[in-house]
Amino acid sequence: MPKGNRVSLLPGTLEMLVLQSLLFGSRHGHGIATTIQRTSDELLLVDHGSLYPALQRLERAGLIASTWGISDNNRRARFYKLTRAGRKKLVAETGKWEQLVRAVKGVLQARPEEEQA
Amino acid sequence: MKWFGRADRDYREELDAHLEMEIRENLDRGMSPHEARQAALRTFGNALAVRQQLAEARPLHFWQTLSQDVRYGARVLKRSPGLTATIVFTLALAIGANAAIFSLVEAVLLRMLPVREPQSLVIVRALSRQGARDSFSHTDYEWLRDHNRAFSAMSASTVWKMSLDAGDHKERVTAELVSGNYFTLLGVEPAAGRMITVDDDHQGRLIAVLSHAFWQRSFAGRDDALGRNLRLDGSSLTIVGVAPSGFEGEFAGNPPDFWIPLGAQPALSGGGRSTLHTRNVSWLDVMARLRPGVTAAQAQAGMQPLLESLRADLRVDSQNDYLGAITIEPGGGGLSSLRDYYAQPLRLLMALVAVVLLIACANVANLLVAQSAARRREFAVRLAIGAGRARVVRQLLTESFLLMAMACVAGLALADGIVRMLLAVSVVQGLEVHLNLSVLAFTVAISSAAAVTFGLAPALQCNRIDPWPTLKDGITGAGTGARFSPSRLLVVTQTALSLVLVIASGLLLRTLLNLKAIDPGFDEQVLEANLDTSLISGNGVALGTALLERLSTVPGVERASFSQFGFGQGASRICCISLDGYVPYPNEDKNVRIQTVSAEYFRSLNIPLIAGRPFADADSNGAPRVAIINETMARYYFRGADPLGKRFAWSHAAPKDIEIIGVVKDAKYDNLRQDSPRLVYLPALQQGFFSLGPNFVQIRAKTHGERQVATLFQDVRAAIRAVNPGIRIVSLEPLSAAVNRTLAPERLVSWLSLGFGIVAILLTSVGLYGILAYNVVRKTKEFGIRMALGAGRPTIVRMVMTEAVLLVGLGLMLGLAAAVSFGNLAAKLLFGVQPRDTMTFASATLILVLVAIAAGYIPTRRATRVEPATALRNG
Repeated sequence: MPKGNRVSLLPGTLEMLVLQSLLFGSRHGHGIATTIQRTSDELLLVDHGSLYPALQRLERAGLIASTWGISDNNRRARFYKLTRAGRKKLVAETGKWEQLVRAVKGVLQARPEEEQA
Repeated sequence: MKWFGRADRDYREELDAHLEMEIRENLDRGMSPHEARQAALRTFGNALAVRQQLAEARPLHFWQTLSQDVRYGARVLKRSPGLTATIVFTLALAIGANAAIFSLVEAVLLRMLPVREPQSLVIVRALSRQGARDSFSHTDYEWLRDHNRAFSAMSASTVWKMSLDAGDHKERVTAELVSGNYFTLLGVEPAAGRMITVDDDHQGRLIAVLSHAFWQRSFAGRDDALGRNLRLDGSSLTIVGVAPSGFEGEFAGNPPDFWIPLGAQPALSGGGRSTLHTRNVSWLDVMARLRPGVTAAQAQAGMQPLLESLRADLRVDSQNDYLGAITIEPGGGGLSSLRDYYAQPLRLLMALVAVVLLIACANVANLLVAQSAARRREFAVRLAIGAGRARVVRQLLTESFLLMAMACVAGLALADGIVRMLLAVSVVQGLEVHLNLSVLAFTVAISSAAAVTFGLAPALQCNRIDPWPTLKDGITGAGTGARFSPSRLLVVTQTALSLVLVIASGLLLRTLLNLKAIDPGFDEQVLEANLDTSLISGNGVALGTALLERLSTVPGVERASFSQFGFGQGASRICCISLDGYVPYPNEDKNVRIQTVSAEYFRSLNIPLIAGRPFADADSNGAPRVAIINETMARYYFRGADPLGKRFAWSHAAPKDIEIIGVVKDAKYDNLRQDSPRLVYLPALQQGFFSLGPNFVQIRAKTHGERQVATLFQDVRAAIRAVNPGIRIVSLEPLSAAVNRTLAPERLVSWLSLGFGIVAILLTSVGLYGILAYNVVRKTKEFGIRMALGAGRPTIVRMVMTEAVLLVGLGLMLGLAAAVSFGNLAAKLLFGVQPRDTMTFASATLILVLVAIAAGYIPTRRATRVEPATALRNG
């Protein structure tokens, strides 16, 4: 496990990652955290202390909805799912993020010759 | 930190769930429980610290944790619906059967009279010198009442069937003649008016206290019933009071319509013989209340000396006394013939059904133990999270109680059904049997006992869990399987108990079959009518002759005859017969029974005449007195000598003027178990024929098919009505029905025990199957290795079956031992079969062996089909 290489999330990205993790079905908090960790090849570490406040914010904004359900190991757990608004928001945010990444990447990969041209 | 929108508790639970999942994962990664917990806590940082502060500040309340346990338990049960259904069904069956049998026991054996302190009431019973139940004479009752030291009060009573003249119609009613202290002894207060007093008894006042039911029925509960008159058997009685509702006298299942003072007896007999103040007629049942501090045993000890001083005081020759002994029985439940018949069968059934409950509990415990083995990991996680062991045990008990509650509800519904069914096949007639509070309490008690018992088994198992190795062990969580694990012991116990049940039902069924196979000595196809002629007046001889003549003209009827008593309906008994050339030895039982019959009786019942002649029309009033005796009587008194022509008298004082003119073959009389008594048949024409008492008419007919039988019944009824519409037909049925009725207790016991036996076998096979299947799963890897190493199927079969054989064999041995002691317990109920009947024991054992083989077949087959490669990869 590449524990030592873990990186912290950029501020403001946690919400987007949560929405993304819910794209393919509802999950409970622990599931969301593990999904993010797994899909990032264990690079992104979700601080559980900030996960739940984030979930609260998203729910209040109407982007996700939650219900009590039963986990795989017969435990009562709160399951979150994407709302229609959340889905739209995710598309929008993903677009913005990709723009940003492209822009940042462009900046970081810029060569001096081109700059001059 | 502030959370919006949601309750704090909700949030805590969400975090808890998360924490638990995290710990579980950490454990899976191979951390120790402590590490797992610390690592999980670390990922939360501050949020958890807050949560913990909250948690510590407000520890969970008992009810909160209880509701948590219940919700969690419900989810566990919902997750394995098959197991839950099996357990609930098994327990419901056992609880239902127990509750149903207990309802019968409660109604027949335990129900107390609604009187003051029923526990201190006793029945004082007179026994004849042969040990048969008898009644007391009035003189003896009064003497005992005045001279005993054990009782604070003694009352006497007797039941009379009377005819009530209601103006436009006559009605059969039941009256109870009671001594003046009867109601004060019982502590029963009037609902209206007053009760009978000692003065009423002494004065012989013609008064009556109505039963509440009769008051409602005949007077619609109106107060103006008091002071009105009842016309009873020609006397006029004044109504002075009404008994409270619920009080139905002390004869359980035979409630009187009213009570009359004992002193009114001479007047009610129409100026006939007074049976008061004489020792010659025994007619009273006696109840008493024990003095405070005196036990029934102490009272009993004083009875024999009391009887001796009575004889001395009244100058009775003990050799010729009707009284042989006086016994004391608990009287709180009243007097009940039903209790006499059913006490033993019901106690036996109670024992059998308790065994069924044990087997069911063993089965459920077994299932739960197996399940808890599968759940060890879950428990380990809970322990690692920090749950106390007590909490985990409590969780398990909660689950048991949830199961129990469901089984209890289902069981009660089932019990209701079983009771209805038992009543529908009329095993216990004339008795109110219902599921009441005490039955409910009983059911809840056995359920709780069962819940604790089987809930504890997995709990104890769980208590031994060491979280660390269990978690490392992997999913199967298989222990090393101690030689005598609880589930093995349970299977042994189950097998033993089932064997006892199967043997019991075998013995009882054979008893029933033996009884059914008995030749009663008469033709059971003959119809018998019980006729009540007490409401009509007139000449019994004329009525009887006319009726038999009319009946023999009914199409299909071959013969019609009369007898005073029907099968199993009692008989008059007479003591001290004296015969030509017979010298009784001291203390001899000189009782014979007397049956009055018409000339055609033997031919219509097909009772063969062995010697002499049958009765003829010439044997009428005025002609020489004649009698026919049965074989038993001939053998007893004449020992091979020819009884024909011999004479006898009913007492040694009277001239011997009754001549024996014939001997008939023995026929069963009271029931099928008892040998025929010494029986004297007298000709109806010399005995007044139809009497106020019971009258039975036998009709021998030739019929073909149902239609004809139905028509015959109609025709017979019409013929009887045509002779005199006042004749009440109490019953009309083939004799086989009367014979069958005497077998009701045996039938109840044998069919129910058969049912219990089948249930026991089913449960045991499920239990055995469960443990074998579980073992096969547990040993899959081992089988795989062995097969990979070249072990053939026989080896594997042997491995699986050795266990089955050991368990079942041990169970069968224990069961045989237990069955021997059971047989001794039930010996009195058996007939024609020894309590240790080899055939029954052997076949029951064989049945269980076959069941064991069947139960072992599937798991064994599964074991031999193990694919070595798969087993090794998955194991």
